[in-house]
Amino acid sequence: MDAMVETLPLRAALVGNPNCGKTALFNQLTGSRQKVANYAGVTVERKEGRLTTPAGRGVRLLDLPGAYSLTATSPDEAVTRDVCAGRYRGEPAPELLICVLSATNLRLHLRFALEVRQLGRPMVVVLNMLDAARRQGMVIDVPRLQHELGVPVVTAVAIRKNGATDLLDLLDHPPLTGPAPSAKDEDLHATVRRLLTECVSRPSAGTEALEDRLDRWVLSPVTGLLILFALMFVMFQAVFSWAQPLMDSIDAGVSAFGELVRHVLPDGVLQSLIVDGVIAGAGTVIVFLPQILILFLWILVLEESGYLPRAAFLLDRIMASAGLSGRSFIPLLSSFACAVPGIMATRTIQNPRDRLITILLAPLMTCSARLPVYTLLIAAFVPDRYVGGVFNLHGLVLFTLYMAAIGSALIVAWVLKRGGKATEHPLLLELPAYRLPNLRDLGLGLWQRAVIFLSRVGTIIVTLSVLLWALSSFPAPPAGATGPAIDYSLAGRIGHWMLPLFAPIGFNWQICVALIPGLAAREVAVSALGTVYAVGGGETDAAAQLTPLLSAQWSLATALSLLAWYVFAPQCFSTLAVIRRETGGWKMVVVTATYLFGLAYAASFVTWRVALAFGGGAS
Amino acid sequence: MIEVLIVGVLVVACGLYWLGRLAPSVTRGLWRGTGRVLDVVHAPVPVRQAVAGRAGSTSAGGCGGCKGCGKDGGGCH
Repeated sequence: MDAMVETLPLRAALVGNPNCGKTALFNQLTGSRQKVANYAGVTVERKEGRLTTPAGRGVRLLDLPGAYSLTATSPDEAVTRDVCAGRYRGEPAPELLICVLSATNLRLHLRFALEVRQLGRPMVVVLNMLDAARRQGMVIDVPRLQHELGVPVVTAVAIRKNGATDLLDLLDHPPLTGPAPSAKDEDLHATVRRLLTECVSRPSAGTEALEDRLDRWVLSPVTGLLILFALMFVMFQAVFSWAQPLMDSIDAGVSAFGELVRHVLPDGVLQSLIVDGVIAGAGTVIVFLPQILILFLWILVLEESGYLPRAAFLLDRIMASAGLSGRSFIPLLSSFACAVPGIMATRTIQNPRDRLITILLAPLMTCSARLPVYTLLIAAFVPDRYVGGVFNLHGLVLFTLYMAAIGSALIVAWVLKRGGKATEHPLLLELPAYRLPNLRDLGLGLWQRAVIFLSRVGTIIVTLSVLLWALSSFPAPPAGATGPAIDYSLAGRIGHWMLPLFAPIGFNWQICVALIPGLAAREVAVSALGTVYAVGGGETDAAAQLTPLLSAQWSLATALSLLAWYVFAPQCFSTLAVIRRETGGWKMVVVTATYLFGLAYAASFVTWRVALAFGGGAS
Repeated sequence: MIEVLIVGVLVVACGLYWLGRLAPSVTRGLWRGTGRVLDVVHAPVPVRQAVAGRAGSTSAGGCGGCKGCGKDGGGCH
C-alpha cells in the first residue's frame, strides 16, 4: 500500500498574492510557458502541470489565481479559495500548499501566508524574488522566519534558471502534516508586524528611491497622462514606420512564390486553388506579421516594466466618469491583443454588473486581428506622407482608429451604466516594482505571438481561403455567359444576395462576401478580398497587388465606411464562444452580437453619408 | 482528373475542419459512423484507431491560436 502511495504523484498547489511570481515558478518547475507579466491578475483560472523531483517523485502542480485573502471577492479568487479548502468541483484538496511570497513585499504577502496557515494543511513557504529584495538592501533571516511560521521556508528566484532548486529538493520530502493551529482570533496584522521586526532588516530610509521619483512623474494626473498618450502615439507610429521594410520583403517573397507556383503547376483547377485560393488568401495576411510583432513588442515591454498598473491607476478617474472602475482596465487592455483573454480577465472584477459591462465592452477594443484590415485600407487610401515632417500620416490615422474604439467603449459604458455611476469597490491596486524587461522573455513572447499568428494563417485562414476559392469558382458560368465567371459562382450569388442590406452603407458585393469568413477571424476578411479579387478579376498577383487594386476600384467613402465597420465589427466566433462560457448562457451572446452589429451599421452609414457629402464617392 | 480529385479532397478536408470547429458534435457523429464502416471493412488498425480518436476528441477552445489552456503550449495568449 505504501509503495502505491509513493508512486502516486503528489498533489501540490501554488498559492499567494497576485504578482508574487507563482506562474513564473510554475513555468520554472514544469517547463510550461504560461503567460507571465509584471502586474496583478494575469492568471485567472487554475492551470495544471507535472514535474519530477530530483529523487524521481512525481508532482501534479496547480497554479492558482492570485488572491489577497481566502475571503474571495471576485470569481478568480473564489477558485483559489475553493481549491485550498477542497471544495472545488472535481478537484481533491491539494496534499501540499506552496505559498509563494514576494520577498520585496512581505508586509502584504505574509498576511496571506498566515491565513493559509490557519487552514492547517501541510504547507511550505517560498520566498520568491530574493534577488530583488537583496538589491533593495533587505536582509531576511530565513531560519528565524521558518521557526516563527512553523512551516518549511525556502528561497527562490523563479525567473532565473535553476532558481527553484531548494523547492525541488523539498518536494522530495514534503511535510506530511500541517502546522500547529493558531488562535482563530489571531490578529494577523500584528503577527506580520512582529515577524517583520524579528526576521527582516531594511536599510534605513535615506534618499528617495528612483522608483518613487519616477512615480511622481508617471502617476501625476498631468504628466502621467501626457506620458501615457505619448507612449501610445509612438507605438502606432512605430507599427507603420518600423514594419515597412520587413513587410516589403515578405510581400516580395509571397509574390515571387506565387509566380513560381504558377509556372511550375500546369493551368487548371489545382493551380487556381493554390495561387488564387491559398497564396492570394494567406499571402495577403502573412504580410502583416511585422506590424503585429511590433505592436506586441510594445505591449510586452509595457507589461514587463510594471507600467501597466500605473496606467490603470491613471485612467481610473476617466473610466469612473463612464461608470467603470480601474479594475476594468487590465481586461480591456488585454483585449487589444485578443478579446478572448480580455473577457477571461474580467474574472478579477468583483461586482457582477461591472464584470458584465466590461465583457460587453471587450469586443470594442481593437484586437490585433483588426490590424491587417486597418493597415490594408489605410495603405490603399491614405497618402503616405509625413505631417510636420515628423509624424507618419498612416500612423496618425491608425492612432485615431484606436482612439475611436476607446472613446466608443467609454460612451457605451456610460450608456449601459445609465449615467456613469460606478458600483465597483474603489480601485485598490498594487503597484509592482519597475523592472527592466528581460530580453529573453521579450524574445520568447514575440516568438509565441509569431507562432500564434502563423498557426492561425496555416489553419483558419488557409482553410477558409480554400473554401472561399471553391465558392468563388463553382459552379462554372453557363455556356454563352457574358458576365464575369465569379458572378455565377456561389460566392458571387451570396454577395449579390447580401448587397441590398449593405449597399446603403457603401459596401460592394465583394465586401459582403468577405464579411462572412471575417466572422471566423477578422483578418480573414483581408484574405477573402484577396481570393475574391484573384478569382473574379483574374489578377495574376492579387496577394501583392491588393492595395493598389482596392484604391483603384473602391471609392474613399467605401473604404472609410469599411474602416468604421471594423471599429465596431461584429465579433468573431471565438469571442462569442467565450462570452457564452463566461456568462453561462446565450442571452449575453445575443445582446453583444446585436448591439455591435447595430453600432457597426450605424457608424458605417454615417461615415458613408458624410464621406459622400464631402465628395468621397469617386473611385 | 487527378487534379480534380486532389482539389476535391482538399476542399472536403477544409470543410470538415470548419464543421469540426463550428459543430463538433456533428463531426464526432461522422467520425463514429466512419469508424463503424472501417470496422466492417476490416480497415488497418492504425486507421481505425485514428478515426476512433477523432470520434472521441473534444473540440479545441479559444480563438484557435493557442493550444488550449492548461497545456504546456502556453495557455491563452
